Amino acid sequence: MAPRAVRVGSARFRMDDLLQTTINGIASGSIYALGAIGLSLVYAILKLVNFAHGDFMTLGGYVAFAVNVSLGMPLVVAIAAAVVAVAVLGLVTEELIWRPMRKRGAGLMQMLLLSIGLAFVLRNLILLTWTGESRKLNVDDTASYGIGIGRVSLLQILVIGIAAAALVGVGLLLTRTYVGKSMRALSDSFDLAEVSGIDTKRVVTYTWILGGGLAGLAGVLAAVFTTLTPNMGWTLLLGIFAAIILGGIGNPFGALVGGLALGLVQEWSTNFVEPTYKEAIGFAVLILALLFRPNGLLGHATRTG
Amino acid sequence: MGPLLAFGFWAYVLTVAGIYAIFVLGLQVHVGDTGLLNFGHVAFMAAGAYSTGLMVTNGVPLLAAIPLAMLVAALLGVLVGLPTLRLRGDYFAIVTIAAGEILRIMIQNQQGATGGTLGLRKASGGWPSFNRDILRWFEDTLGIELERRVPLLVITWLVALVIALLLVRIGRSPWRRALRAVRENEDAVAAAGKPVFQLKLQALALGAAIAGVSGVLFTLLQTSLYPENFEPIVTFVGFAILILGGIGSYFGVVLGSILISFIISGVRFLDFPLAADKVAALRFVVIGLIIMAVMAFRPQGLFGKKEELHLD
Repeated sequence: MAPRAVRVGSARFRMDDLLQTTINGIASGSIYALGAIGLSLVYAILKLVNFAHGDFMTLGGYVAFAVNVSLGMPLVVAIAAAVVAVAVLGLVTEELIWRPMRKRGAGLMQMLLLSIGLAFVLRNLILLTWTGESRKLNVDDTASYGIGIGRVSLLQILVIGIAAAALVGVGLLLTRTYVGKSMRALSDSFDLAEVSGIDTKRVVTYTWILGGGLAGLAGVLAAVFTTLTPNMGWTLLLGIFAAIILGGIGNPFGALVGGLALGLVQEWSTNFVEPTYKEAIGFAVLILALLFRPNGLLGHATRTG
Repeated sequence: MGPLLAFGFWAYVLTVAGIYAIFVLGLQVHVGDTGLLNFGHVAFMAAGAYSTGLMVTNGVPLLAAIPLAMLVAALLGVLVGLPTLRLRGDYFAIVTIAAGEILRIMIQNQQGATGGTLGLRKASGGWPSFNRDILRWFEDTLGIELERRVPLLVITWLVALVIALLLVRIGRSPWRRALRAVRENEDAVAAAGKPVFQLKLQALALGAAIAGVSGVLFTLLQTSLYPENFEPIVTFVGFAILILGGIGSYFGVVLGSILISFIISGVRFLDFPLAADKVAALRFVVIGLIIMAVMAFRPQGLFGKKEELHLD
């Protein structure tokens, strides 16, 4: 940290720091956003606070590792495999756990605690299969390109590019397609959507495909951008909850804004405090957000109770 | 492995179980009695442990440090509760994990004071020499050679028993009836003129102080403290104990903590044809499956009462 003190006073270097932390913030914020949209959709439509969502992401990262490194296939194939694998995992858990539990009238907290059990199982099965050693995907992490006054790495371009494409795709899906509109209708009111003739079972299936697929993608991007360990997703999960609450629970566009805001605040904070406090800053933002804007940055005041 | 060494190991496992029992008794006050889904409980244990450690390493006698450590944990409970207790259940759960993580990250980063990841050494102060005095007294006066871990084992379970009895006693008081009413229906309690917010805050502080005691005992057991001892997983092992034993049942907490501690540490003695790290992972797969199975098929746990269960 010592060199940073020397830099103070030179406006050019400070601009450089700001630019670098902004790019990093957008990259990590995109990962939060991808994770947050899936988790938020599942919560809004199924009333499930899924604590296993982070471990869904981790699984995506490891599936990509298996395909990309163990089998030596290109990254694109690895991403596709991860997205499919986690979407399938979402569907399987829906069939085996969540649907039967909803049928029995399980409460919110009962489902939440169950998802914690599932998170333990998934994380430790991953640990059992791939050990705790940290892994890397086969991406050139030294390549970088000059842009104006700063440099941007291939990793940052990959993460931001793929995340942006996915986020635009999700946005179009939710606003322009029948399935997407149905999802938003279900998240507003499951019963009203059902009586208005929407095939809710089909929408629930698509919700898990979309939420799981996005979690898988977020897991691969997190594995590209950071290091892949069995705890990766769990560590990201708190940030993802923070992003959702920042954006307003149940609002997928809010989750996007919340994710980016969180990523930027965490990275910008490293210009002022030790980077080891980055996570703590993110949680502090979460607590402040809940105190002052409990309905999220984009939310409206509502009657509770 | 000699039988004496094996006994020492089991004494260790049972001491850990006792510390978990106390930790979860505090959690029971929050979750079972008041309906507060506290996912950051480990922070209160960390507060008890590190404030004991920091006081004794700075010259405060252990006996004076212990009540102060409880007070610190209770104050942390108030500090966390003041802004968060008005939040909805699932928000409260997430914010309490966040608060616990902030505390752990701060302990980790304040290396000058806490030793950071290098650990806080000699955190148990005068305990090791006092322990030796106890062992010598037993040998000289009674001619009994005690295993060195036995005194703490007995103390831990005595403390757990006293706390459980106190909680049962409090259980018959109007205060606890009001807490349970808060759990059942907050609006009705408020309408009856009871101060709901204060009741919750008091419950949070009481449970936090109890977790602080578990932190003190943890410090005596381990002598050195590390931030990674207080990761969120500890809270969730606590929840596994609570869920298995039964939300709302103090006896369930005791049994649950022994069962789960044996799953975590005890299976070390069974011969698995697997590497040690794989066995460790398998233990937590089992704990996860227990949580899932209990939540799916017997959400009230082994000893909980179904009519007292509120998981909405």
